[in-house]
Amino acid sequence: MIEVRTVTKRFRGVVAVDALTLCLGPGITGLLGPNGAGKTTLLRMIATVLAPDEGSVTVDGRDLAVADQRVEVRRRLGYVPQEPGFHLGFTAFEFVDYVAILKEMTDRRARHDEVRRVLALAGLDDVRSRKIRALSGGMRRRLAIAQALLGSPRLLVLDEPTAGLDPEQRLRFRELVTSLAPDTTVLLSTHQTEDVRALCQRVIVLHAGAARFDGSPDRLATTAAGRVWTAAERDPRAHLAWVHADGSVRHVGEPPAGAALAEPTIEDAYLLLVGRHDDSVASRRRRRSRAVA
Amino acid sequence: MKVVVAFVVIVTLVVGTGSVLAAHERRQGEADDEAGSSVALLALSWVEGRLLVRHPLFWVPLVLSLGVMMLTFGWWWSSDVVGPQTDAVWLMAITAAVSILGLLLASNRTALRTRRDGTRELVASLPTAPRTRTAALLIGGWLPAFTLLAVTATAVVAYVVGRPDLDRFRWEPVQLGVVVVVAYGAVVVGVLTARWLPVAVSGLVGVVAVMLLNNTFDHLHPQWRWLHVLPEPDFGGIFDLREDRWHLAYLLALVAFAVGIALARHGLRPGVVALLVIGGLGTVVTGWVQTRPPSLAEVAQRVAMLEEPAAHQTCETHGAVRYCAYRQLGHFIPEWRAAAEGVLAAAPDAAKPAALDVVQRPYVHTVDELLPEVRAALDRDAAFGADGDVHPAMQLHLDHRHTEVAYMTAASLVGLPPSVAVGNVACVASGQARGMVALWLTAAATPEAATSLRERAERLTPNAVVVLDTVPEWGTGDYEAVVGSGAAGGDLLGALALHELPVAAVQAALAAHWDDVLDPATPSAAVFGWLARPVPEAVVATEKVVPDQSDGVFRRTCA
Repeated sequence: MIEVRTVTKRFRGVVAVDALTLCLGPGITGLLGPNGAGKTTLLRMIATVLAPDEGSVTVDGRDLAVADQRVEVRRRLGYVPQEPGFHLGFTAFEFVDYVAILKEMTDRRARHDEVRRVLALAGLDDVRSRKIRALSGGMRRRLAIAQALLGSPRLLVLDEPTAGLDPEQRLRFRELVTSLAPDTTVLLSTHQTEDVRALCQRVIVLHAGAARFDGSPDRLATTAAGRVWTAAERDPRAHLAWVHADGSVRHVGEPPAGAALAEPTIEDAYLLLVGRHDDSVASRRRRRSRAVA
Repeated sequence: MKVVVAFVVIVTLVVGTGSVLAAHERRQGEADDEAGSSVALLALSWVEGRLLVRHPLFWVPLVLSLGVMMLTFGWWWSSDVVGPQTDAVWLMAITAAVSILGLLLASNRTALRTRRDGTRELVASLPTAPRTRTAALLIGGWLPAFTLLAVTATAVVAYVVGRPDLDRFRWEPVQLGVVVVVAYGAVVVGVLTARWLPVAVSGLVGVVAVMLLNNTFDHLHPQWRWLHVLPEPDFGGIFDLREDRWHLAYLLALVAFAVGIALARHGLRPGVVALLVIGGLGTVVTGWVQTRPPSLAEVAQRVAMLEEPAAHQTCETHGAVRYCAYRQLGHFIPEWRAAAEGVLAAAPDAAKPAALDVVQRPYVHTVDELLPEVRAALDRDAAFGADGDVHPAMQLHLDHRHTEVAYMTAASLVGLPPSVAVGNVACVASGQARGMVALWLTAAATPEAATSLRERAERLTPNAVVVLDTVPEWGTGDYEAVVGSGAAGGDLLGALALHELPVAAVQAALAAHWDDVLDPATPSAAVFGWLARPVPEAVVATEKVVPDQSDGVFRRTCA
């Protein structure tokens, strides 16, 4: 169980996460939000690599502000940073083995078995002896996922884990994540709404450091009900409009009377949520920045 | 004291700059979390140690050095000189020097790995503490240090086995320990600079700092140079006060202190404070022991070693000759004996002395390298007087191993000064029969001596001074001389021409004219007249040419 209580984080006076409160249980939770929404900052705080300026984060009752408890959380954590670096001179096996040692797996034989297991899970057993510099971007991303799976962590924090993966690899990733133990808490941020729809029991839309939506993907889609329509021509009153392959124009926004309403999707709802808040949030952020300064 | 001040300044600069950088990073929102465990310390140490051993910056210079050593060994050995510092560790140090600096860079890059490769965030999310990662690097650093020892020792053994004539290597455990500690110290400096100066060039900063501290401030001082990591090896020699084990203890303490500084980057925990205190105190104590002023008894003992060398040396008497060498150099005596006995065997009976002393003594200029207290108490005339004895050098040139003593012995027989004395001015017996005879006796002494003279003759110019010092270059330019007299190039060519004749014939001719030989006015050409042989052109030329005596210590004609 992750509890985020009125957490605020600023960078040089700019608010990245704004008095956010969340409670996450086992299962897969997706974080959606535009760039700069605070997703990565939130994940970094939960992954114990960043301390909040205000508020508190607890994982399974352990307060991340307390050093010993923070270390306890790290023992149960698997983390894929947004930009995971790699020691390019290491082989895939050596890299995961190195991380395994840092995860306190000191028994060599057991550790190597575990390294082989996670590499196989990530589909990298064929390239485990290959230097990382010789791996493709997708393979490296899978390597990052593999190291996060070491020790079957109870908490998995994945920052854009499917970025750079091809369709097949994304499907394999979905298979992998959904095969995790049911009591595992998975928090992943992504720009891929298909991943959210396919994987997550819960989705949180973050914008300007605050949660704009917290619920199931289906419920997110329903927030756009009655505000998505199709027409033969582009309607300038729409918040956003685009032409479908069949030539019809899909609109998101407040529909005109008599419009042909369409079935809303997560993307529609996301666009409406984020777009609606854009102006007001930007101005509020500026005000806060000035206040902090 | 300059080296102490320089050390403090450099450490302060590194730590101070590192503190400023750390504060700047904290303001930028960078993680600075020291929480974590040390459970993985040993497993991580093993991995880090293996990674350091495999690091190209370590093994590439090592392999190249070994290769260069193997390829050039014959050359530089044949042109080299052995002395009290010629032991296995010296050869190992040459082989290992570049890879030790490479090890510094390797450990630095390894310590900066998370920063350079962008894995800081991932590593920060893991339960192992940053201080444990630093400690693992520091512990793992012993592995390449011992690997270096094993590899270089194996290489030296291979050299020695391949050259059975090289039987003069000493294997001092304490000095082997110095190799390990110096290599390990390089790892520590690499980690230290990475932790306190986490920028890409910090390894180079470490290399420059080490080279600066080791090779500049007071590095030629008879006393303070012992505060350097690797002091000049042959400076002061056997008249120094300190012992190898104190230097090893000093290095260990210095390294412990450096380990403490590296770990202090993660906070001053009790263990770190203990390391800093023990290392710091140990450095001060062992540094003082090595640089302390000598007691009156120690001064007197060293003065006596110089003024009455034979009383403090290992001596052997064979026939009419007594050979005395300093304790560490007793293995020179068989070479001296072969040379002196060869000369005496070739000399006419009338020339053979009733008694001859071959007593080792240092170069005259050694006075400048002695401790000030010893220098002040020394009677230079007693130590470096022109006593007519043969005084071989403290070193031995292996390819010319008989030449120096053979010539000195021969010079003493013909009335030329065998050894250079106070004032360090040698004479040249240019065109004098006795000079040429001394050279003939040298050539007749042993086949090695004859070969050595032939080699030197090939490099001669007509007006060159023939200097049969330990090293051919000595006595010329800025080099110090050991022998007290030389001859002209033509004299050497004449001596080699005589060497082509039967020894008995030359010996008989010299016996018949020995008084003439001793007369400085007798020209070299006269010897050929006694033998009813034509005078070689070079010998004739020598009478017309005054050898160039403007360079070096051979600045007067032997009277």
